[in-house]
Parts: sequence; C-alpha cells; structure tokens
Amino acid sequence: MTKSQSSIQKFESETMIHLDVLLAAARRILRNHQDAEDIVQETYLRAWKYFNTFKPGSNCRAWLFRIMFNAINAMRGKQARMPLTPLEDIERMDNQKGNVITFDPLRNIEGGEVLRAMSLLSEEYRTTLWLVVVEEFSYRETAVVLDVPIGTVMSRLHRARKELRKLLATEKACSAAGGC
Amino acid sequence: MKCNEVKQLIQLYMDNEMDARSTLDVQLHLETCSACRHILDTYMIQDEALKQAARQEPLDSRFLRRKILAAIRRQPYATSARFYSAPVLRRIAAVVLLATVGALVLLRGELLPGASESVYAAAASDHAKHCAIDSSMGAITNSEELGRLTAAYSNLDAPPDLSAFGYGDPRATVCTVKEEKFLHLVYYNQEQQPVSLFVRPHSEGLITSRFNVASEGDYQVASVSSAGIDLLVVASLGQEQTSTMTKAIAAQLKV
Repeated sequence: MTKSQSSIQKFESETMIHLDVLLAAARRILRNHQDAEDIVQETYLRAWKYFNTFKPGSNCRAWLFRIMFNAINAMRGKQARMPLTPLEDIERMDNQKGNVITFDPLRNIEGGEVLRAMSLLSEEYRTTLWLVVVEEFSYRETAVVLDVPIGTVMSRLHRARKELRKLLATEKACSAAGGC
Repeated sequence: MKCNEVKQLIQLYMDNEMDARSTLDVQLHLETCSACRHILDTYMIQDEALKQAARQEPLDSRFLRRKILAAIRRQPYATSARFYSAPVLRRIAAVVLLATVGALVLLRGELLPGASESVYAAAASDHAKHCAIDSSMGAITNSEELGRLTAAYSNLDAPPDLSAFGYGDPRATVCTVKEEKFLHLVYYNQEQQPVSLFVRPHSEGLITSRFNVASEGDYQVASVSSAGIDLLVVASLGQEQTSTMTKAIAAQLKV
C-alpha cells in the first residue's frame, strides 16, 4: 500500500462516518439539496487538505462542522445578497407523511411540521438550534464551530426556541382550522 | 429560587450547561411549580420533536460519498505532502531570508540608509575642527584655486552657490573622512555661522544614493550620492533646512 493510499484510508475512516450528519445539517441550513451537497464536498476537500492539522482523538465531527461553516461563510461572501433559496424542494420532503412523532399523548408534532417551521427561522437561529439540539454540541463547541462568542450562542438559541414555538403554535392553529 | 430566575435558567438546565448546585436548585423549584414545569415541557417536547425528525429524515449520501472520495483521489498525494512540509519550507525560507538580510546588513549595513553613523561623526568632527576661525586661516579662499580644487573633486568648476541660503565666501581644505579624501568647503553666513560641504567623486563604500539626514551631536549631517559625486553637508541648522540645502546642492551637482 502506498503512502497516499494509507493516508486516504485514514482520512476516510476518520471523517466519512460524519458525512450524513454534515449533509443533513447543510440541507437544513442552506435549504437546497444541491448547495448542501456542494458545500459538503467542499468541506471534505478542505478537510483533506488540512488533515495534517487534525489531532487524532480530538472531536472530528466538531472539526468538520467548523470547516463546513467556514466554507458556507466563504460561499456567502461570494454570493453577497444571495436571494433566499425557494423552499419548494425542502417543503416537498417535509410534507411526506408517516413520520408522526408522539411524545405527549396530548401533543403530537409531525416531523414535517417541526422541520418546516424550523426552515422559516433565520439562518442564524436555525443553525444554532440545529447544532445544539440535533447535533448536541455544547454551547462552547457551538461557539467554536460558528466562531461567535458563547453569549451569542445562548441568545440565538433562546430566540430560536421561542420563535419555533410560535411557528408551531401557528401551524397547529392552521391545521385545526383546515389550513391558513 | 423564584419563577423569574428559573425562567432565565431553564434553557441552561435543558442543555445541561449548569453547575450541579444550580441544577439542583432548578430541580427543586420545578418539583413544586407547575407553571415553570409547563414551560420546560413545552421546550423539551419541541426539541425532542426536532431531534427525532432530523434523525428520521431520509438521506442517501452514497453518491456524494463516492464523489468526494473520487475527488480526493484525483488530488495528487503531493498536495497533501506539500501541505505537510509547507510549514517547514516556510521556516527554512524565513531563515534564508533573515540570513540574506543579515548578510546585506553586515556587508553594506554601514551604508544604510545613507551613510553610517561613523561617517556622520567623522564629518561632524571635521566640521568642528575646520570651522574654528583660527584653524580656517590656512584654507584656500582664492577663487581660481577654489575652482581648480572643486573641479578636481566634483563635476563643477566652482564651489556650489549657497547665496540663496545666505551663505557665501567658501574656503576649502582637503580632509580625510574615514580614511577617504574629500574636498571640505566651509561657508559662512552673516552671523558667521558655518556650514560644511564634503565632496568627492563617488566611490563605493561610504555614501549611497539614498538621501538621508541625521543628528550628530549639535549638528545635522546630510548625505547623498548624486551625479557621480558623494556629498556630505554638516550644519547647525534644523533638519528640514539642512535637507533643503543639501538637495539644492545635489541639484547643482547634477547640472
């Protein structure tokens, strides 16, 4: 086995287990499948380029997320004032039925419902919410990944949860009324 | 703990971001307060719904995975290897650069930026020595002789004209500055304040073409090599005046 092959294998075994979570996060944050795939590919190419700076045993997932958000920021810089991606494709997926989540007998929230509501949050809010709630990063890790102060993480998270609660309440009201 | 305090802390409590003591305080409050418990439940249900929905989302990353690995394999290992060695290369480059700059300073540093401090000190010392009235008695003041000497040490037929600055009656001696011969011209103004000009055909080693002026004791010393002539000016004037005068002299040398 050549040195190159062993390096690729090492890289693959270390990083590829996080591919799905990165792609899921990118899809929700960018709200566009193609952009998400492009940014994840860019993330992996950057990670490969800087793989020698990665310390074995450290948090590879957080490292990859950090790279991904740098790549997103770079993309945002290139596409200044980029129009918001239409929600059609993400909505189509959210509307798929058969994914009912039951936690409280009195309160059923459909998976599509909560994801659709989250997509309506601002990018800052849904990014922070995703990292803390779905990825279960600590506040400190989230602050590092997003390169913002920890206080910013806390305030964004608080507002994001509050906003999401309002959106879900509206959605429920709309559903009860047979649509808005 | 009161409800207002708990409402402020509920998010930290949910996300396990509190210390043990505060966690216990919040727990004790929640056991007895249904209103706060309701807020907590609402957010927890919401979070859990989001978490499960995200995890149950259908996702097929097989194609992307193949694409990424193919892209990585297309990148030659040298890319990675170069990156590995880049910091080392940068360090080597920095050392080489420093060594080069150091060598330049050692070899020519005395000349940077215009001439070394020792040249300025020698010129200032010679200025002080030859500008005392009694020691200037033996200097050449005859205009014909002055012209001949000036022509021998510069591209002018006569000493530079400093009348625009109120200086005249030049007198000349041949002096040694740092073991190099210069024609030393001393001018006086009406207050009998002297200014010295040191000129010689340009020769590598003492003065560069870069104009410079610096303080040397009570004097300002300016230096420049222009039109093939090395020039030093020593005066008791301000730095700006000395600079202006030196540049005017250098302009005359060019003509």
